[in-house]
Amino acid sequence: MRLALHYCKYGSLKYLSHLDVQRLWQRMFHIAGLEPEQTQGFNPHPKLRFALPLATGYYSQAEVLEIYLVNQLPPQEAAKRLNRFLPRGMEVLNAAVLDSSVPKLTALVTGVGYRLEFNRAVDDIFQQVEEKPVMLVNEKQINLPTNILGIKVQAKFVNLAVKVEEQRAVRPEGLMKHLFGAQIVKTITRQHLFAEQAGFLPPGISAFSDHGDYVDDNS
Amino acid sequence: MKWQLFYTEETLDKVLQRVEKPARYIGNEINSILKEDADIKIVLAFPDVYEVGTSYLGFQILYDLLNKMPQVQAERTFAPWPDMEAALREEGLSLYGLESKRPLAEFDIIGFTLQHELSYTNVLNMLDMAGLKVLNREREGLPLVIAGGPGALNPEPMHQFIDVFIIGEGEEILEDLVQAVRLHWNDKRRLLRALAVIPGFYVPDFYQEDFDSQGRSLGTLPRDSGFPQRIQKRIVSEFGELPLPERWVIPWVQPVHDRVSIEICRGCSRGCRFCQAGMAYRPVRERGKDLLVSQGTRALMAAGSREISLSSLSSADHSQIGELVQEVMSQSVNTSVSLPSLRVDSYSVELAKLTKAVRKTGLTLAPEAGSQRLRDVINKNVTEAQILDAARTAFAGGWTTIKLYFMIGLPTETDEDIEEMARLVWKIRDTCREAVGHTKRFQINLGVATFVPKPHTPFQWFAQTAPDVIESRQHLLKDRLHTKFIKVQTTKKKEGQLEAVLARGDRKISQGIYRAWQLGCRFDSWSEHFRPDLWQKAFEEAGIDPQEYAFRDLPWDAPLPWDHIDIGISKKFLIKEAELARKALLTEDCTFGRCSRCGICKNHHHEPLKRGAGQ
Repeated sequence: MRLALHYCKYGSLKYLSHLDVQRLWQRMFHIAGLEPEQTQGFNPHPKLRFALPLATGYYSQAEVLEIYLVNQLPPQEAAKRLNRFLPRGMEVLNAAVLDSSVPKLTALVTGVGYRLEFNRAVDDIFQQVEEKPVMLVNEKQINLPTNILGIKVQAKFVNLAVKVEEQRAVRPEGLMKHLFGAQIVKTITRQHLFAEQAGFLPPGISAFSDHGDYVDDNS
Repeated sequence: MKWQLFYTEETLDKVLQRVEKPARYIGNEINSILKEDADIKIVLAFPDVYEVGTSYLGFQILYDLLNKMPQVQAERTFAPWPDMEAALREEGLSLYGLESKRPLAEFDIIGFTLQHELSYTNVLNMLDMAGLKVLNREREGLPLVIAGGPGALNPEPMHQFIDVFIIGEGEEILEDLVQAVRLHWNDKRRLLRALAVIPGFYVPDFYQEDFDSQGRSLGTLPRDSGFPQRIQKRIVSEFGELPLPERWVIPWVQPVHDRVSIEICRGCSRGCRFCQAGMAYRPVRERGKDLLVSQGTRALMAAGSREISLSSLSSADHSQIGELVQEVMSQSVNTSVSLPSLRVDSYSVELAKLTKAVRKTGLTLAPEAGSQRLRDVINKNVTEAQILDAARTAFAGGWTTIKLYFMIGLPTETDEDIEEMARLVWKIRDTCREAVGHTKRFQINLGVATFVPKPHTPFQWFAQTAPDVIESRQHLLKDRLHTKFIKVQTTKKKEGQLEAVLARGDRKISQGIYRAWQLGCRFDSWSEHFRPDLWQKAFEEAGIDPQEYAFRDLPWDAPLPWDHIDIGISKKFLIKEAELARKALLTEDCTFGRCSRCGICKNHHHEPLKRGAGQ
């Protein structure tokens, strides 16, 4: 059974690295009595995939993973069982069975939306993007206008959506440092994962066109 | 220091945002426990980094046990890595318990484990980071600072810092401790007096150590007759029935050993003469196969783990080991079983083969000494034929890597023993070649440690070999084994020397430790942090000659600084063993053969364990 889980990660669990999260889930399924299918081969491991790894230090309301289980059970039942054992700060919000027509989640995700909290108001963000449209990441030039899907400013808060290509996306804290010189971001919360595809989408992933959250009325 | 009853997330954000691996400091791991209604709060403090401490079986046992007591909350804390230490100090925050985020000073009891002499400065540092005075005489009231583990068997080097040492096994003694703290929580002096008369508790403040004109110890004695002359080690009465920890705390950052351990035996009767654990954890006891299988499988399930370790000082010695391995494997599919501390013989290798660990990990064998003479000196009870047989079985069974543990600097060792060690390794290499064929690659890794004389062992009287001799023998060995398929790793000489000084130290050493910590020594077992120059300065300033402690043979009849700690093994037995060592004569393992009259069963009214000869 191919199962998609939409979960959140908040509180001090934001300090877990992606590796820690992987190890956690591998254990969680066993603890909850859900038996993941194992890959064949030399070093078998559960068939577990994350839609988009989350950086250490970010909160998230939009974590999505897919897993192949040996068990057959209603997805909500799986969610309930997992929630009984998950540590404080992680919770499965929704679950769904995926059929084979749904592409791999890693391929499905083309955008990611964050909510950034700043030390000060950042109304000048649009001007900064205009003035510094090219950012260097590991000696590679990133063109910001083509990578930023949308920005919306609300005083000390910014909603920022960026493009995801082959599991890679511009890191918001790096971007803000580029724009403002100093690091003035206080917290980062991943809010959405986006797909281009219309029609059925796994929980936690939505079409970007459905969101007004990343469109600024004044820009 | 900013005093808050608990640190909030926002407070901790200020430090955690700028440290490496912040997940080390957040708690909330799977199976960790937070109680709201506890009246006694204990924090188990491990004086090394999180990944090391979370792999330590003892804390998993005590954590489980304490939290099962009504109204007792046990939490954990680990030595903060230097980046975290700097961040905490800069923000004026105290070290805290991972479960409640309560500053350490708010606990009733802080319990350190002294696993290793080179972690002592971390103990001092953790007390300081808790905002407590490092010297016990300057602390008033609770928290009570206690320490157990192998280091407590020679407590004197730490006597200035620890209020109470726990001698022996923690399981039962902790109930006495909790009771006493409940009764006397508002009067520390009374609490200490109450504890000092219960077997297994050592309160250094009620004892004094005298020295002769040369500054050598005349022994440690009670200050008044109300306290016992010797502190008797505690052992649990029914180890066989003692339940295993039910809920294994699963650490966040990948620990050194990422697996559930079940303790199948306690104690070891092999009688290796250098081994402190082999003397300290006697008598030998076993848990039955059925209990181990049922509770072990349950613990594995609760941890969501697929790796289980059948832990013991000599795993293959368990009377039902074959069946045990098979049943654990059949109960839990896709589970890998590991057997630490295997004997060097083909039976043990066959056992390891059963566990599917083949190819996944290398096999570790510990002949300890290279020549037959020296193996007899240490009472290893292993012949060259057995070693080669074990190696042949391993390589024929599919392993392509084996690790061999040896020691350099053992008593009576000469260069010839090192030559013999090299010859043995070459023979093992040839055996491997033969077993795997000429086309396949294989690897032999040698871990060569430096011998450190430890208290309560037959070798406690022997000097450590001088550093330049150690070094030249390390070179000699490397020179003889300079070839493609053999890798030799040796320990640094200065760390071994410090370990010897602290291990056989008396009360005076305590001042050296204090000074070293003040000068900035931390994480001494981590070579990137170890500062021999600062230690030397510290000893000089404290008026201590480290050579006196490390490089001197002690006379049989000299009072030893740890003589008042009674681990149940008679001194007569230790002397007899040391004399047999000099003559390279063996002593039998009493569970398979004759009683060697070490005294443990008599002293603890224990029915000796007998094992079949079939193994």
